[in-house]
Amino acid sequence: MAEETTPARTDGSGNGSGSLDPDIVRRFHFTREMVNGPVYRKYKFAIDRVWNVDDLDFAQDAADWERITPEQREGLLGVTVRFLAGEQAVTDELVPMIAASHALGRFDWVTYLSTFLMEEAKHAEFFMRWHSEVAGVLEPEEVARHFLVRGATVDPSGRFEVRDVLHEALPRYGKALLEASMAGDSDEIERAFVRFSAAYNAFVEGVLTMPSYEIVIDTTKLWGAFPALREGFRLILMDEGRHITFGTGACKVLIEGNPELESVVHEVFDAYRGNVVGLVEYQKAVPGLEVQKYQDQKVRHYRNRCREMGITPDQELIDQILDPEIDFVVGHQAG
Amino acid sequence: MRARACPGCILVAVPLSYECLDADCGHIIVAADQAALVAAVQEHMSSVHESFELEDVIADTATEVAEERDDEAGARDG
Repeated sequence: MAEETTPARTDGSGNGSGSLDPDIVRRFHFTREMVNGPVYRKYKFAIDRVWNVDDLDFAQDAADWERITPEQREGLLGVTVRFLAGEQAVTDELVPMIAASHALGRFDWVTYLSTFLMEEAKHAEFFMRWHSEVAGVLEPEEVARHFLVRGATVDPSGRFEVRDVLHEALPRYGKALLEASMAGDSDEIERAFVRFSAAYNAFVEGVLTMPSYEIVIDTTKLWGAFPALREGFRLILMDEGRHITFGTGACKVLIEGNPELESVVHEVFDAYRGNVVGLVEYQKAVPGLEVQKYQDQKVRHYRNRCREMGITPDQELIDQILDPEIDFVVGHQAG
Repeated sequence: MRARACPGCILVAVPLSYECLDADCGHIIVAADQAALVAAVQEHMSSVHESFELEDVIADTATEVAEERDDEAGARDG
């Protein structure tokens, strides 16, 4: 038996300009403004540029691994293992941003974030495959012994505390964002979104990690080795550019609507200032690299993020990043 | 390529600029379109800073360069 249906129009007319049932209208999210907008364009780029870890050949990297010294292996693993942990963390912690985008009625953000989450999972897969097929480590106990402990990093001046923004701030800010989304207070969702995105997209992805990408790429060039690792980084960075600018672009929209939210961004960077003012242990784990270059670049990345968010950079933070007196000693490994 | 509509629906390419914010830099790169701008910025990053820039960062923060139209210039000069 055919199901009985009623037209969406509240006046019962089949056409014309009669008013529509708003409950039915709310079921449709696409608008011409959205599909011509910058976030939907990022979604289309992501769809057009999907890549597959299976297409990378790790054979040369495995051969290179056999010919480098034990010290070089440990130095490289000090960086790559953090990426392996980091990519799993950001995959795991993205759900609150999707929930918040839904709560704010931003279907374009939800649509784009579907590609974002898939890409983060793929990045984690890439590092899992590289560590398994090149370095021969995969199980948690095997990779964890190469993880340089953040708590062991010491600032000799005692002025800064080095905390673990990725594994500490993201879960905490994410929980607050998820709770705000469930509660449904738009102002609180927007505040929590800016806090989470400032930590995730601007701080972690957009400033802190960028020198690490360059360190690994420079290392592969310096050693004339690991072409699959370098190619993987190139592909990941293509995705990361969209991730970072999505987050900072979303922050810009929310800050333009409520300029008081700019202070939330500065609070996040201030809370984890110690992580960004000096190069931390794993970033100095590969001998032979000119590390000051990465500090100068960090200033660029920080200024870029502020420009994208439409906020004023903290000049004191820039001065501290460039201060050669501020440095940290190398930590030790777990296990 | 970023383009601007003009009367008669002919699209006109708009030159774009990008300011490098590396420490002590501030260099402004101008190019005819987005693809050329990305290439020029990457050349600057590579040769001056031994680095690179993310393509989306360049695309999202590139600004259109205001061009003086011939009729405006003529009106001002005449």
